Parts: sequence; structure tokens; C-alpha cells
Amino acid sequence: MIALLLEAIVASSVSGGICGYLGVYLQRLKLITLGFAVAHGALAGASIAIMMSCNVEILAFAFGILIAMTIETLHAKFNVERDLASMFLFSFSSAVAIIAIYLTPTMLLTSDIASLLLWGSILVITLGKIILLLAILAAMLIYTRAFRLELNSLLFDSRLAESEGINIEFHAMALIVFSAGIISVMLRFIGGLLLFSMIFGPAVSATTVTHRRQALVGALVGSAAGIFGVLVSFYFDLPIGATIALSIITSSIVVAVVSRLYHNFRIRRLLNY
Amino acid sequence: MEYAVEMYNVSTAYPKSNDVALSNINLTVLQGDFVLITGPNGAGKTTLLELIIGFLKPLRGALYVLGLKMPENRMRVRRMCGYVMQNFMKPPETPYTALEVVLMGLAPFKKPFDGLSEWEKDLVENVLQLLGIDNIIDKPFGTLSGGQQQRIMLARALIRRPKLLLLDEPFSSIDRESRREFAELLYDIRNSYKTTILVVSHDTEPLEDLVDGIIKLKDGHIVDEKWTS
Ligand SMILES: Nc1ncnc2c1ncn2[C@@H]1O[C@H](COP(=O)(O)OP(=O)(O)OP(=O)(O)O)[C@@H](O)[C@H]1O
Ligand SMILES: [Mg+2]
Repeated sequence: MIALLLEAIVASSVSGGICGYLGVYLQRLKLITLGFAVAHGALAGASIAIMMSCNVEILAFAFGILIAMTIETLHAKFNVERDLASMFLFSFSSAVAIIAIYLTPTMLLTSDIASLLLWGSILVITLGKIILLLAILAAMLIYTRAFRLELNSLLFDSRLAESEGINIEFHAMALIVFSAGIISVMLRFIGGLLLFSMIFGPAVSATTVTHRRQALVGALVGSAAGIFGVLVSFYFDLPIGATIALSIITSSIVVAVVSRLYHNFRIRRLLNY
Repeated sequence: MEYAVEMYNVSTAYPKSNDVALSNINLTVLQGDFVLITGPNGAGKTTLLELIIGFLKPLRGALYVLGLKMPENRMRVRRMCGYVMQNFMKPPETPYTALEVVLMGLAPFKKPFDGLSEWEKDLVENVLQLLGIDNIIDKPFGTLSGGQQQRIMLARALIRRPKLLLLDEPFSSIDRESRREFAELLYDIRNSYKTTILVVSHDTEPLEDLVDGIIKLKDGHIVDEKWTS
């Protein structure tokens, strides 16, 4: 039990950190809906994997990437806005997921399989997955360190960066691969419906707290809220995914409000003296 | 002599637009030329620069930049260019200092994990002094005035040591007294480094006697072309 709790805490804090970090980049590069579509692509992949009883994570990852590449192709070749393409494919993924779940040959009720994928379960966390998560974290840190100047240039102004010869597609794809990776590893833990709260929640608080080091703030908020969510879920025996999602959303709101109040307080002090 | 820009019967349009933004442009610019592009609003000046940098494709005709066919070679061409965009302004909350913004210009030349080399630091320092911005370099970029931001962007383009410099209204926020100074600075850069410079400007006066050619656009056509030599 304790081992399970520890594993859940590590998994949740590491993935919360990675998602928080990624979320800030996705938001700043206006790829938020793309991340959303990738998450649903992963969900479709996972459903198909369950239907055909093959590896859930690998198929989720492959489908996430496939959806991202389709969106990029629609965007580049057919001039379709990324947001529009993302929402279009999001419905496609959801439909595929529902049909796959419906067709799954099993003794379980359809709703049981659905709940496994959509709500998440703590039981799917294994040591292997934790190592995988740490590997993704390490890869992402190395990537952002290696391309720091290029990434900053992209975040400052992507069009200018493009005009200077920076390969935007490469970096967009790298971020998508990281997102798809973390999403597919965490899909059955947090649940497909709640995963993006981990990506978007910390981004909200990061943008309200600071202009510099947003990615770091996002990672910290995501990580702390992830731990808190696991503890609350264990203590009150609540579904893990939903509790983590609520924890992240609440923390993001708290962080945003506190930083707002602090900012107002500082201004008032400045005006009074 | 080699050409920096060659356009043969080039026409282009913006995606999703039914209008032709430039039509039947024939233009050759020699390497090392200093060229002024002028014309009324909507004439196609910015479009011309976007074509050269590869943001737009020629729908008709052939375009070569620095001897390379466009848009196929746009990644290589972009690394050899410096582009200062029109009306480039950032809001106060932009999370980078002016110096950071300048240094980003070097990003495409860096290998992963590379930092700045000593000669690059010297170069940056020289450029900043030359443009009179070494005193504002540590301020947040977005809090600088319009003219200061414009100088920073010019510095960013210059530290890339481009073969071809594309400047879109680079003086629009620069005070009148400094404009002539800047025009002369560009003239010196051209003379020292043989940089080809295309500058778009409504205010032709500070540049007229320094440039090798003046190109006048209107409604997507070249309506006048003057070359000194
Ligand atoms: N993104 C765009 N989409 C569609 N049409 C555009 C776009 N940008 C410019 N145009 C059109 O192309 C034509 C040329 O515009 P361009 O921006 O090149 O003018 P300009 O000469 O730079 O004008 P200004 O002096 O105002 O900067 C105009 O008719 C304009 O409406
Ligand atoms: Mg213009």
C-alpha cells in the first residue's frame, strides 16, 4: 500500500512537473489546442489497443503523433488553421475511441472499460513507468538546455525566428513528441478526460505569476499539485485522476489569486510611500 | 558580378487572397548594392521583402536570392539574411531583456549547447555602441520606447553579419536627427562588409544621395527605377 502510494506520488509529481513545463511552451507557441487534440488521439489509440489487446502506451503514443502530424499537414498544405484542424480531429479521435470501446470483446461492461480509460486508475503505475517518466523528464531538460537560444527566439517571436532560419516545424514536432510521450504514459493513470488539466492548469498560474521563468513556475505548480492530489485521493478514497485534476485546477486558481493580491499589495505600498 | 536578388517576371499573392500583391516584377540587385524601395501604402513593398525571405512563394516567374532558387532554398537563404520587420513592437510584459533579444539573432548559427564565443561578445558590444544602445541593453525589451526597440531590432539583424539586409521602414520611429546618422551607418556597413541592403522607406530624404538605386512600387508594379551607376 505504502509502495503504491509512493509510486503514485513520484509518478504524479514528475508528470505534473513535465506537463506544467510543456504547457507553458505549448501556450506560448499557440499550440494549446494541438496538445488537446494529441491527448484525444492518444485516447483513441489506447481504446484501439484495448480492443485488439496490444500495448496501450505504444498505440496511444503512435496515435497522438499521427494526429499531430495530420494537423500539421492540414495546416501547412491546405492552409487550415491549427485550432480548427485540432478540433476537427478531436471529434474524430473521440468517435474512434467510442467505437473501439464499444467493439471491445470482453466480459466487462463497456462502461467499465470506458471508465478505466477516461477516469484513470492508480493501479496502472509500475516501476517501469516511473523510469519511463524520469527518462522523458531527462530528455526534455536536455532538449530545452541544448536549444535554449532557439526556443527563446521562438517564444519571443516565432515569425521573426522563422525569418532568421530557425526550423519551427522541428521544434513544434519535438514539443508534440514530448506531449504525446507523457500523455500516453499517464493516460491510464490520470484518465483521458482529465489529462490536459495537467498541461493547461499550471500554464494558467504561470502566466499570472511571472513573465520570466514561466516554464519553471508551471513545472513547480504542476508537481506540487500532483503530489497534493494523490494524498487527498488516498486519504478520502477518491478517484485518483479526478482528484489530481481538481487539485491542479484549485492550485492554479489559488496561485493566480495570491499572486494578484500580492501584486496589488506591492503597488499600494509603492503609492503610499 | 554576382546577384543578390534576381526576379524574373515574378507574381505573387497572399494565401486566401484573391488579389495579386505583386505582378510581373523584374528586378536584379547586385551583391553589395544599397537599394531604396519606396511607394505608397499598399504598394507591395513589404510583400517584396516577404517574397525574398521566403514567407511567400512566387506563383509565376523565377526568384533567386544570393544565387539560390527560392522558395526551395529558403532555410539556407534565411541564415544569410537579416530582416527587420515593419512595425515590430512588443508589449511591456515581454519576458526578455534587450540584450537577450539581440543575442537571439545568433540562435540559428549555434550548435546545441553552444554558448557565445569571445569574438561574438566583442561583435555584439561593437554593434550596440555603434547604434547608441549600450546603455539600455539590460532593460526589459517591451518597456523600451518604439525607437529604442527599433534600434535593438536593427542590432539583432546586424550581429548576424548578413550577406543581405532587408529593412522594412527601419526609421519609422527613429527621431529625425538620428535618421541621417543611421542611413550613413548603413552606407558604411555596405562599404566595409559588402552587405547588400534593401531598405523600404517612405522617408526617402536621408537615404537618397547614399543609395545606388531607388525602386518605386505602386499597386504591385515597379513604376520607376533609378540606378546611379
Ligand atoms: N497578410 C495579407 N493577406 C492578404 N493581403 C495582404 C496581406 N498583407 C498585405 N496584403 C495586401 O497586399 C498588398 C501589398 O501590401 P504590402 O504590405 O506589401 O504594402 P506596403 O507597400 O508594405 O504598404 P505600407 O507602406 O503600408 O507598409 C496590399 O494590397 C495589402 O492589402
Ligand atoms: Mg509595408
